[in-house]
Amino acid sequence: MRKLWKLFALLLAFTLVAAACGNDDDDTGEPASSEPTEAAAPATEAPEPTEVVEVDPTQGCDKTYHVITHGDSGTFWSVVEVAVRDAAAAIGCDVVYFGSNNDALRQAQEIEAAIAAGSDGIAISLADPAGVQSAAEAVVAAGIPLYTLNSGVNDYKDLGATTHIGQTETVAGNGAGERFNALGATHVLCARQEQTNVALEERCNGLAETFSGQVTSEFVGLDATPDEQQNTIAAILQGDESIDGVLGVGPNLPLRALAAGEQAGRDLIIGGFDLSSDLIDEIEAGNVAFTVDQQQYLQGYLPVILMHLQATNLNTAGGGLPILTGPGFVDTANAAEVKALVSQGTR
Amino acid sequence: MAEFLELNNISKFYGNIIALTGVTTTVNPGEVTCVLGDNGAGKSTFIKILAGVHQYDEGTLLMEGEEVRFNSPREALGRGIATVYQDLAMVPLMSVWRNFFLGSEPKTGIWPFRQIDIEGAKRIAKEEMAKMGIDIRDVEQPVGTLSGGERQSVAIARASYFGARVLILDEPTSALGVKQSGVVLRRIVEARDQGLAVIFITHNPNHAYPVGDRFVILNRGVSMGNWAKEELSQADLTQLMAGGAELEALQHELAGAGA
Amino acid sequence: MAEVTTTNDSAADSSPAQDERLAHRGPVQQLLTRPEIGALIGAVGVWLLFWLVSAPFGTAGGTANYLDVAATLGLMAVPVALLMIGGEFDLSSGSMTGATAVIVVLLSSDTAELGGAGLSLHLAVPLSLAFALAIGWFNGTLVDKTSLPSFIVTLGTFFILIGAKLGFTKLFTNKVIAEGLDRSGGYEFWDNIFGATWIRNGHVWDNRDWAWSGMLIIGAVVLILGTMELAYARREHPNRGGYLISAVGAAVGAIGYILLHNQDGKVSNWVFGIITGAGVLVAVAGWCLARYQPAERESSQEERNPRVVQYFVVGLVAIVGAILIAAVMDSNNEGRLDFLTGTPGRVFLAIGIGTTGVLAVLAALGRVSVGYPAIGAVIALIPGISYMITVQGARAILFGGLAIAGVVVLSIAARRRGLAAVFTLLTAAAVAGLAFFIQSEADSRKLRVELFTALLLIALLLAASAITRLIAARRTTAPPPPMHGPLARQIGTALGLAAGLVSLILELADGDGILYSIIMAVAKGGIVAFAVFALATLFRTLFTSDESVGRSLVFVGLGSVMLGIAAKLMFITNEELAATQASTRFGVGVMLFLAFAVLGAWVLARTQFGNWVFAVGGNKDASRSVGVPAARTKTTLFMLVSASAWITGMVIAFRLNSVQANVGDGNEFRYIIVAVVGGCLLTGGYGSAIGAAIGAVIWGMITSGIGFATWNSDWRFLVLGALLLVAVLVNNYVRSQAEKVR
Repeated sequence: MRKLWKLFALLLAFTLVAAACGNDDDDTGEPASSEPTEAAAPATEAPEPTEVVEVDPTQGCDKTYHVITHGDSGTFWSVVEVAVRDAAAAIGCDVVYFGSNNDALRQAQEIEAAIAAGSDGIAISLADPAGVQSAAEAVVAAGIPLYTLNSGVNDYKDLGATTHIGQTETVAGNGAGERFNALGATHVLCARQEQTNVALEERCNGLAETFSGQVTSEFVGLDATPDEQQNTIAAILQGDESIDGVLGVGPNLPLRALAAGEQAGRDLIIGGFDLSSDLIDEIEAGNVAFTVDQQQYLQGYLPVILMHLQATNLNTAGGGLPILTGPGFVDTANAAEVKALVSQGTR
Repeated sequence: MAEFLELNNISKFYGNIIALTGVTTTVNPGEVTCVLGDNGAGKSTFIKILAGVHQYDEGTLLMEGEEVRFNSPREALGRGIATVYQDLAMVPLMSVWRNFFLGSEPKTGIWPFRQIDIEGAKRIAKEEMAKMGIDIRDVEQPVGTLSGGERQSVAIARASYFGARVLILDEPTSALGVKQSGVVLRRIVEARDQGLAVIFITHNPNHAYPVGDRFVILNRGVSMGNWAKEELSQADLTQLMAGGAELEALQHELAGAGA
Repeated sequence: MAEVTTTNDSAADSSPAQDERLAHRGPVQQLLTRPEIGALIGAVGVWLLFWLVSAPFGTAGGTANYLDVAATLGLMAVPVALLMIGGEFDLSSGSMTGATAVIVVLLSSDTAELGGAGLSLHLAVPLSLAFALAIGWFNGTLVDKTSLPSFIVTLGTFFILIGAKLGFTKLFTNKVIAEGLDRSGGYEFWDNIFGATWIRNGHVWDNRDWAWSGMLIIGAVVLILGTMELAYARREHPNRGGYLISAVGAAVGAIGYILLHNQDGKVSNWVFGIITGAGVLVAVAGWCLARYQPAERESSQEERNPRVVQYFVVGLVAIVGAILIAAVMDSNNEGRLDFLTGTPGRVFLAIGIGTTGVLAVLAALGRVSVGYPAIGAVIALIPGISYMITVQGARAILFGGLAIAGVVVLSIAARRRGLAAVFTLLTAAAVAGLAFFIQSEADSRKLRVELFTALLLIALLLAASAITRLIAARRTTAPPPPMHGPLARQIGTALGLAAGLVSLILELADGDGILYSIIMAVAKGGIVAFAVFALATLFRTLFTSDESVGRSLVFVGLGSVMLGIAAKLMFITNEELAATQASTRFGVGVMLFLAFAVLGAWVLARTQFGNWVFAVGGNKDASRSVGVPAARTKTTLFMLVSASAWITGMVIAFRLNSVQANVGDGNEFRYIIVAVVGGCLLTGGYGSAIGAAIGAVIWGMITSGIGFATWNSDWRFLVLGALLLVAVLVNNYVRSQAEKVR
């Protein structure tokens, strides 16, 4: 029994230490929140990412907009969320953000709830068009402006959405292919971090369309097992001596490819997709050639602004065509500037 | 002279329920005390009190003339009271010698390299089993591959090796066939002859009578009495065991129905 | 006749020497009942497969690659195996690896730039360990106090950890990656520990090849001696003349081997190969004459299997077929063996479908068994499979498969009674022929040198075993001999510890990295201890007739083989260094993984705690009633798992310097799978730490091997699943066969 008490005491002490550390964070967090730009200020006021963005009601906006995506809590969607928040602050209206984490049913339910709540504009992502079709049609039937973002470039018209804000993966892959052509690669490994993700496959297919050399597209292991990714890429490099370029279709894979190249004793031309601080450091250092940036901040920011303009000013953007947010490229030329923005969470 | 282990009017209550009352008997080295009773007679409560799992509420328990009360199984074991449970407390997938020494492994070597003295353990296990008259071919074989009687023998050998002075056997023959039961009864006699005090719990008077020196019969938590072997015959024992008067009444009833 | 006897007798009937086996399980039978044996066989098979189909797989670089994957898996799989043996699961183990990594980064990274507590790593690293231990303690205590299945309890912890990782990472950094470990205070110190790597290119040793092949050969010879000591009946007075013959044979064999390895020509290979073989065989024969009782004449009552000749013919045909395939198939074609798109594909498909149809009809009529139509389906699948592999791969698989099948069939023929020894000798001759064919015909150096050596060794082993069987009598009864030489062991341990300590101090004083110093210290200490023990054992072999010497010899042989392999993997020669740009690295994870495997095996087999782990997993109530502290044992196991998760997390964190919040999630099932492949039962109470480590290596070999072989990764999980299934089935089969013998 005495032993048990000792353990309890230890645990208690540990909790206290943890609590003390937590206090430290709050203390040091405060000056940090006053420093950055006004865009980030509302974000740091809330202790955790909230879904409803409260804004000073004196600005007199009586509209409420909803952004309902299939997004998860990964690097990518957290930027979209920040963008939605920033746009809400800019127009001074309430915007509700919801990410269903790839659950189409949840997403559809949330859309229906938004209709019932009398939303003034709804933006949705169409990762699973069939799953949210009826809900999306109900939005249009209720006379609420509908926008699609991120995925859904093929289906937004059929659903009656005003326009689509996003990037097509194939076009992004095409862009990467042209970059590799310019850099003089002859055989590119298109490394994927998920085995059955249509978007990642499309990026690789897009690469193959424009790249003049040979493309090998392989799944190299999940982001959850970074060591396996590195070793698998190294194995493929050693198995095929002709590979001289690697395109990682995520932000982590280019870094793994860099380590794998060193392991296999090969000098590689490395490209990536999306951004992270480490990746930009390597681009700045010249170890990674470029990364394709889909500029997802726009995919969160623009729909809110466009919905607001349609609701208050009856503007409709796009002219029946999608609005492409990418591909933008980050390479040695602009890495330093983008770096600062990434650490703010807006790129 | 004080008896080795003496129970006077031991009782146990669970709330309002009387689990055991008025048990009086003695247990001495070189003797077998049999505790008989049907299902639910209080046999397992009796074992658990002696093994230190439960504590008695009334009466006195004297060991070598000194009143004792066991608060945990470890305490009872420390005083030399070893219990061989019906499920034998064996791990079927582990080898004979590992089971034999489980919980009290002999160790050798200095601290960071402190390990089980495997060779010694195997040798002792084999020797102890041989003392019980059993030649285990290979002490590495899993206990699960032994027959029921052999397993009982391992358990009894284990208890006697670890300095048991009182050996409590909980229904050792209930799951066995006739031949295997005979083997186990022989082990009981051997343990007795080695100077152990044996408490043999059973519901079978035919098994109890040949080996027992003293008999306690329990019925629905009540002790029916405490007899030395000279005081009653096997027929008496069976009669008492089967419920005495109740059985007679039953016989009358059956006879009446038959006529 | 066998049918009317009892089951026990009929089982014994099928084995050649019934009485002996009942009384005494030989060294091989004892080995086969071990839980990890299936995994071991599987690992060898997988290794052979990828070694045949891909050139870089068998090199030090390839080994480092798959060991690295195996390490992060095995560091966890070993303690998870222990926990499973203890009867529990820990579903939070995977996310715990990531959680400790995230915590360290968050606690240490600089507040101003990224958000985080900004603690020094000297504080952050121990704090994360305390956190991990607290979670382990919590898991264990909750499981014990509530008696809920650990599956449910740790599932809760699993979700809590995932949520907390994500929530806190985003709270502090506004992103899902915690970055900037390398900018923290105390980074240098801790990186020296968890981020250390052994860079092979920096360790040149030009005499390495002599050393390692010597150790390998000596190891193999000692291993054979050891098994002979265990298996054959000893003479009371050794025959000195036999020793002399043996020494002469060994000298001739050694000279032959040295000459053989010094050149690479057809005629000289044959000549020196034969000299080597003859020398070894004479040495073995002399040894047998000297030490073992002569065999009685084989009794006439033994039945002779009439099919033995057929087996022999089939085996020879397979080996000739292998040689033909290797000779006929284009050895320069590097392309894919693509039957899918051309006419051959249609032909195979047509044959396959036709065969399936015919066999299905026959099966429906009851003429053949129901399984037969599957043969057609397999034929129809050939084009699909052909698409996945290169011509060279197919050549290697066909050649290797046929050669192995041939040798197996031959050895089955040799196992039959009667002419066993003669057929074994003939088999050995066939294998030796195969070896020389490869030596003279193969284009690649890999096949010519390594496969040749391996086959020659196998042939010699077969021949040696046949000769021994002819000359010496088997043991009938034997007590399980303890491994002996307490004095030698103690002196060895003391000297080894001293040598290790001195080495550690010297290396550290030289300013070498911590990893390098520790490895060198352990290696030097180990080698000193091992050498003392080996010398003492060899001395005993020659001058005493101690029963225990056989097992000591086996141990010495295995140790020597492993030292040889380690020397080859860890050092580079100048020649190799000039030819490669790749830098082969062994991270500290690999070292820790191997240490864990050995430590886990020792704890399980030889310590009191290990005994308790088996006990609480096998029968918790029983172990409790004999005084095993079941709750404490289980809680310790949970804390062991979480402490290992902490080590794994540190290795990952210091390798990447930034950690994504989902690192490690989902790996818990891999750990469990790997442990099961290694022979652990899901129900607890049975299993092996070494097995789990081997399972992890299998997993690593498969994931990396598919890359090395440039197979399409779409099929990765199919291959992985199939190979894992095979490993488990082999495991089951081998164990049931071995148990049957008893």
